[in-house]
Amino acid sequence: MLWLVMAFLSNGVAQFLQKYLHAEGLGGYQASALVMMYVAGALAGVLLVAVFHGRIGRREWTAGAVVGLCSYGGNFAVLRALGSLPAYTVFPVVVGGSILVVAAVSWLIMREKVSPQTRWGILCGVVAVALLTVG
Amino acid sequence: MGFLFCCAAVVFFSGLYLAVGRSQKSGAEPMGLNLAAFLVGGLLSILAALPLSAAQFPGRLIGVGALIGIAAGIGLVGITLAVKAGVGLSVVSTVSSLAITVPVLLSLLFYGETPPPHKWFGVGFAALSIVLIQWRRG
Repeated sequence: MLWLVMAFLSNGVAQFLQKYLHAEGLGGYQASALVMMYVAGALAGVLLVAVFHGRIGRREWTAGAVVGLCSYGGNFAVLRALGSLPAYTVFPVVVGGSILVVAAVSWLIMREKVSPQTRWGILCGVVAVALLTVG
Repeated sequence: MGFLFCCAAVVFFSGLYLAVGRSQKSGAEPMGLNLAAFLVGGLLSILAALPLSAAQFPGRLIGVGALIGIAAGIGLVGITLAVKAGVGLSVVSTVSSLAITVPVLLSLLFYGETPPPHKWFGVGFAALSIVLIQWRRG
């Protein structure tokens, strides 16, 4: 539960800061903002590895490369989509779509066991994303 | 073309969660995974932004961009540790995506922005979603 709260709050603060960036008139510096984001994240990552005695071997590099590629690719694709579609279309499709794809793959392919309450919770989450990102 | 980029983003972000899930099955260490992911993302973002110049990095951008990176890094560590602790990928991706309620509430607090009624319903559905997901998890 603690890790979920940490992920929820940290990602929320990151999104609020992105909004702040636009409010400060720095929305045009998207490519530079991504560079700063990843470089600062990497520096913080070095600190976390040092403090918590993490390790970075072959397994971490392999998985990290895929996660980093997906993270950058997703951000790049969202920025390109925003160039030709309004935000109220892009974000519900991207965020809601990702929830549904991950849920479908987890249930159908990875055979993740999910209670009926959790299924309703995920459905409510998709509705919430649609309502929060429109307009 | 815009819709194709949306589909690509869905594939990439879904791939991120699935890669985190697979990494924890293979025993990858979360802090090392986070560092490797940000180094690879950093390399790709620098390549895409070339040629770099000092004019591309105003002071405020450096400060806020760095804070976004630190917050996103802690977020990725949280996602990885939740998966490592046995929380299902579908639950982790849903709760993490519901983080969009935070900017709505912080904007109300810091900018005095009053969200329209449908966004309040969205916040309500997000709260209901988290309660349902946590129902028997404790």
